[in-house]
Amino acid sequence: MPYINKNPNEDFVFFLKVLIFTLLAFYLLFGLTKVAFGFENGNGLDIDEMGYYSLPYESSVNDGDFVIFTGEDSTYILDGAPPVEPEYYFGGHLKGTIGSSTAGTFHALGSDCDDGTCIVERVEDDWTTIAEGWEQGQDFLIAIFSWNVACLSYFQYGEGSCPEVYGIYELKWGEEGYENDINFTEPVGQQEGYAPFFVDVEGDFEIASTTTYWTDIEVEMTFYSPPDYATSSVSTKYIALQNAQNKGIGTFSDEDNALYWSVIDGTYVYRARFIESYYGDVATTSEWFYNEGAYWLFEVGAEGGGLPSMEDYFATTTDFGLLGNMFRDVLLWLFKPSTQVLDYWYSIKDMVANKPPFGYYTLVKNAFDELNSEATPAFSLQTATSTATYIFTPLKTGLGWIFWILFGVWFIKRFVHFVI
Amino acid sequence: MITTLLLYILLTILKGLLLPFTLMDNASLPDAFTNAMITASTYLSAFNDFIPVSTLLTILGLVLIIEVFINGFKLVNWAIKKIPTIG
Repeated sequence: MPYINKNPNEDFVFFLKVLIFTLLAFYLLFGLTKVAFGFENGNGLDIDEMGYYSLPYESSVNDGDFVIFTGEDSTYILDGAPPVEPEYYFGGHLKGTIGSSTAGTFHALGSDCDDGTCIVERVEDDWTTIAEGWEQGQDFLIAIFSWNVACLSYFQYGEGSCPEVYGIYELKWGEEGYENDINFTEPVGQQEGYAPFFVDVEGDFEIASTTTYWTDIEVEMTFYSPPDYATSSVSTKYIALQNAQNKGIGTFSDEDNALYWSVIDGTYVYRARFIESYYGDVATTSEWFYNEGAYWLFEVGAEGGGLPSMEDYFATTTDFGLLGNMFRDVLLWLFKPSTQVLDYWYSIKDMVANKPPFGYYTLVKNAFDELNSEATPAFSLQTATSTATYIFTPLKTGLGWIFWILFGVWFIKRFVHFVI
Repeated sequence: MITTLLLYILLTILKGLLLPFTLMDNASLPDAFTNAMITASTYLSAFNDFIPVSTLLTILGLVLIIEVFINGFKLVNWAIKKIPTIG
């Protein structure tokens, strides 16, 4: 049967051909539409032709920089940008990213900038107020554009496009290479009878430069008992930092002695965050930090008895009797890998994780993660709403089904021809 | 004890084998590659109102995974067949 001898890859090639043909057809269709009807995105200002700075900077920052401004005024720079007379150039900031941002203050840059070349200073940009509560890594934009409300709508909501000359710096607040972080030391518990239960809460933290002065670390322990049981109990512990801090590293340590659970066999899950509070009232909080692996089980201790031993993967709390327990302990001693050797394994993984060729896997994966349908479009293809609703949306749904059916056919044929 | 010892021996051998890799600089991709992906996304998303781009990307990902699985399977089979008395 000649069909059996057919190269199975031919189906894949056929699938790709259909795919490429469909995409090409759409590309031509909309490309011609664009040429015919002149759909245009904004005439983007070349990024080299603009600049912006505020104290402590004395010259323009660059697109993509991590910055911390402390000044109360701003300097906007245009160098050879297109003239916009009789309109004005406007400059200002937005908190967030293009398409998902909140507009801050915008200033008319004045007639000096109409010819596209100027250095102007504008007051009332007090960055200590603007950036209050911003955390390390907060995205924000500096935009200069010939005034048009459509541009603001585009910058804020991603709607339509900016039909005027514009330039944007996408900046991040903070210091490059630093992140807020909280690490917990593996908790150590002590049981005095069945309840209460005492747990040492300790770890270390790092605070990247921010305008927020953190005053506390809030550690939240969620206790599942018995393990995996849906109902949980939550204990929250506030640990005051020695001094309010907006930068630095340190350690924290305290004890929670208010854990009352009748059954102490369970699983703890820890998370923590920075708190800014005034006289006990929480003002600002950071994102939660979770520690991978901060899950641990307790053995039910004897009443009135000392330290419960920590259990791990396959050990159970089942009582097998004196001989049974001895046998279990011998088996554990013989076959249970030590935590050191498991750490050793992770150290080997970390040793080569970023080295070629292993490191390329993560890099390529991250690069391909950028390939999605949610990015800000490079240009805007516009249609009447009714056309989109009644023609393109049903067509899109239909195309989705066709693609899945094509994939299904390819999948079946791929394995029909699969030879071990 | 036994598992720990075996793991230590195995991992020490593995560490020795991987040692040359640690002498290399960290892997990095050309900026152009990442930028190309980001640029491609901006063009793809422009068509998202008309073409089910996310469906296409999902299918492309599945095809790649299946192909990698099949070719990986063939590679292992090929390697096994090279061993005398087994192949």
